[in-house]
Amino acid sequence: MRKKRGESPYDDYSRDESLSDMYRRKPRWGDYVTVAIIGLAAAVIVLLLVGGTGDTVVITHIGETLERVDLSVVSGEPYTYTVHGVYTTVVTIENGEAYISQSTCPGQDCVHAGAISKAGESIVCLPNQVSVSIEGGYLDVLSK
Amino acid sequence: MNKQGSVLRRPRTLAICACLTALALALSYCERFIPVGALIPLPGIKLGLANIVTLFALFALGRRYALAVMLTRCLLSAIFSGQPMALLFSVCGGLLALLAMSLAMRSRHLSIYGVSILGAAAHNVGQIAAAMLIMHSTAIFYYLSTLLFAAIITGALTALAASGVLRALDKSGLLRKK
Repeated sequence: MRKKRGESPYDDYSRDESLSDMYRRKPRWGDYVTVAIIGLAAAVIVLLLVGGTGDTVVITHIGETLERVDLSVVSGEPYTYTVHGVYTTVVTIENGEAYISQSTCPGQDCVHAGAISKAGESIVCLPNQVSVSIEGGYLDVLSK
Repeated sequence: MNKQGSVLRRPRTLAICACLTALALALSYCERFIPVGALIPLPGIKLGLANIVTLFALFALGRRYALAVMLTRCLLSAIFSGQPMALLFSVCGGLLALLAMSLAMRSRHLSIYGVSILGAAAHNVGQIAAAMLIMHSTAIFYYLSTLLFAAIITGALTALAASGVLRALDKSGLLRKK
């Protein structure tokens, strides 16, 4: 709607609807399609990369493999591996799962990430550039 | 020179941009005190409150100003936090998010919700890319799925907030183009 002559633009409330349309504040059908596509993409990533057999834990630091441990071999006494980077990160493997038990990094996200046990899963410590992942997963299996 | 001149010739827009940058910085700081981790125990999940500002700038001022606000925020927050690595993450995520949002805005079939969700998803893609670059490893890629699910929720929430701000400021007349 066009502004009438002599009217201040600052108290013109009549354009409210057309402006609301301009800013598109109400959901439209494309939004639901967007949500569906993103959800599908996320599901595909999970299905392709996580699961399947594989029980080798790989510990890397800046892309360099430091240690490979078989999950099933560790029994009883927990296995620990310490990575000395900018910070010190301790990886513990016990009861068929791997987790970062201690880290001197500021965020502590890696410690809070919890334990991993399925192929394709991983824990990373970004500040220390350490990753702990379990080899396998469907994509790895397919590419072999 | 030309671009800078045009912004400075519009002091009102410049002032709004400065306010928005300050607001975005304040929001990303306050965000730390919202215990999202207690609700969803996953690392790296943030509400992305600063995206409300980017979204608002994009819809109300246009993408050039949104880009300026976003880049200034990333730079300043990296300086304030003293973590240069944070700059890589926020710029990678921010640029990709802004690109996705400004493209998504062109579609008449998407509202601010779709635009925001796409922006949040693109932000996560950018962050995962930055993480893979830093780690020299693709191990983290699978985590994108978790982040994408989170992006749907956080994107919708930020859109809800930005939508409210747009409605309120629209009525106040601040957004009125002269």
